[in-house]
Amino acid sequence: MSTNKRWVLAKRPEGVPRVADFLLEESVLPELQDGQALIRVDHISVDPGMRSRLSGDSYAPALELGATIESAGIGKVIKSTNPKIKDGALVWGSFGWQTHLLTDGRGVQALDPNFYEGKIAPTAAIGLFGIPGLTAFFGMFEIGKVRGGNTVLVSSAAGTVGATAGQIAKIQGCTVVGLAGSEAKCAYLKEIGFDTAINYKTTGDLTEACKAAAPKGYDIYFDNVGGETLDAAILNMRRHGRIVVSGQISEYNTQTPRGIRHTLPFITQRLRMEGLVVYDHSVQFDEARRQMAEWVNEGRLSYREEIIEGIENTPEAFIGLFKGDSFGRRLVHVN
Amino acid sequence: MTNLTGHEIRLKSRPVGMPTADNFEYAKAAVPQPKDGEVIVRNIWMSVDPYMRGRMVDRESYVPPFQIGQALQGGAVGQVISAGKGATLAVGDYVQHMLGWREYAVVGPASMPQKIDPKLAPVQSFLGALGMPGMTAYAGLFRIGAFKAGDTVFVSAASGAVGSIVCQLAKAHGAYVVGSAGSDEKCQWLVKEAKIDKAINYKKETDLDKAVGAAFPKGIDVYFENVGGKHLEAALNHMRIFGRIAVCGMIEQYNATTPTPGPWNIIMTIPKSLRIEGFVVSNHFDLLPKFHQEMGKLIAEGKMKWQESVTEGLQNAPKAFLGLFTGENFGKALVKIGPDKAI
Repeated sequence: MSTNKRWVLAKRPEGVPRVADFLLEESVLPELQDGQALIRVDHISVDPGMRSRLSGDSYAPALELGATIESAGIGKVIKSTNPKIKDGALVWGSFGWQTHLLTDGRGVQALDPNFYEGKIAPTAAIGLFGIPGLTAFFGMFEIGKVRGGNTVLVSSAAGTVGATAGQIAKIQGCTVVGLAGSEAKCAYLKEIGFDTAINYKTTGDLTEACKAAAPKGYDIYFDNVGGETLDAAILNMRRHGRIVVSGQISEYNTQTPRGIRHTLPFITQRLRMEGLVVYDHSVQFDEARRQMAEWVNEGRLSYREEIIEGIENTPEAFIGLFKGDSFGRRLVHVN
Repeated sequence: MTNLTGHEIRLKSRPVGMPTADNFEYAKAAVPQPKDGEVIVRNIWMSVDPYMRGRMVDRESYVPPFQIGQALQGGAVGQVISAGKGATLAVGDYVQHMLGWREYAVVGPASMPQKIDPKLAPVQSFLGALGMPGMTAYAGLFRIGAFKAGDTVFVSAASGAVGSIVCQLAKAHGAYVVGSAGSDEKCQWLVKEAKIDKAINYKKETDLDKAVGAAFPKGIDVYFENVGGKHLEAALNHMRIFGRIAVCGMIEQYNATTPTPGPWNIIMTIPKSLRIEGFVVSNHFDLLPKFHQEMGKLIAEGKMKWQESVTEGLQNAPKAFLGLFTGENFGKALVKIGPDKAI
């Protein structure tokens, strides 16, 4: 018998979520059925993209009230009667905000021990080698069509998606400018090779700052923020520029999104803007992981994690994402 | 100088917001002798197009800005009346070129002259369906919009010079097509003559978003954008996953002195994996042979219709241009500035 702690959606948040919107439930897991496996979850992720599913707004399917908050996780198989899942194996999947789960194996994948060794920790399976890193990879190559010599602007550049996108652009021979919200984050961007880092909180006019950093403009803007930042980028795009829409964190907590003001540059500069759903590229995931692992082992690509201790602190860890207080891939250590 | 004198329309001052007649000057100009390789064309027709508003602003764009005190430029059709040494065009040839807004044009290679065949269609069609607007429709729908059989298509300013061609090209390929236009007369033409499936009179709709949603129960695959503003917001709300928005024009924005809010729902690009792409026809001239082949066939089969709004006289060209922004024109806006036969 195992006890599970899980965070469920208690009520739909208005604006920035509050701890009271979530409820920590404790329950005894039922006995293992034939074909099932019991997983002890070690680390879970908190993801800004989950915000829209909490309120059930217009486009993403809403999470039901009382349902476990979804997230990526890694864990260890405690006991298995499923031939595809081995006792003691390290696994990852969409485990949600909880400490244990019973699974029939669907969506559970074993971590290859040969892959997660040396410079690559197992937690990277839900960071650099999970959805955030893959988003950066396919956003840069498939939508950004990155080429050597391009000038690239990245927002939320100190986050896992942004930092990976920027480093990939550097590896391809680009000039890269990153936007981040603190001096420490900007220093980190310089450390991992960004040519210029702009602290958007202190820079004043963002459009001018982006222009000063790249007077000839940008070929690629990798958008994680939306809103005013996106407008600043649009005004600085070069002809035939590409805007990769990976996320728009500035819009997630509002009932009345700001959107953008500047649309004419789409015509005058022949811009292309495209939203990315990374799962569209799932057949190439392994290929991308192999390439990124090679770069990590060569010391050309790095990633940063921020581990919060304790399942009870998960909602605060999530809420902090919207205040910009996370720095790197934010994970919660639950077991 | 030749002993010819002609009139031309010059930019007198740069408009702020909506242009007025005062921004233009109707002036007399002597016609210089054609240099080697140049010809003198007596213009018969000229085009007024919304994009010209952008050239009145002194800023970087896809075409250089017009200069104050100088004649404006734009598409025109005329007949060669005199040819310089080594010119590839001969006296009597009908030609389409980029030196409109004047009675006589000295046309060299830089003005992109193209000889046209007056037997193929009325010569002014080379400023519309068979010219740049038609080619814009073709490139926007097929290359930028990546149209494929079975797609649903939404077109704004659908009865206009570009929109009407987009509608009929898409219909010719079996699409479900809905267009928006600003009068019942235009909407009727779209359904009866251009044979599209539904037309929305956006001036009568109190809720454009709802009207677009009702017209597309399964969503939009390709939105051909000519208007911007509320149209773009409505389209974003009703695009299907992997939808494409081909941004050809945003006429609502051209006279704005401050950026207008919106689209507020640009975030839809993420969950629906949308692509929004602006384009300029001059980057797609490689498609010209295909375009001519397809349009020639459709015109010959009587499957391509278009409307013309004709203003008489060069002195009235500014008025024709201003009419573009008030929705007064119906179809391709043209100005007749010379006799059908120049020689």
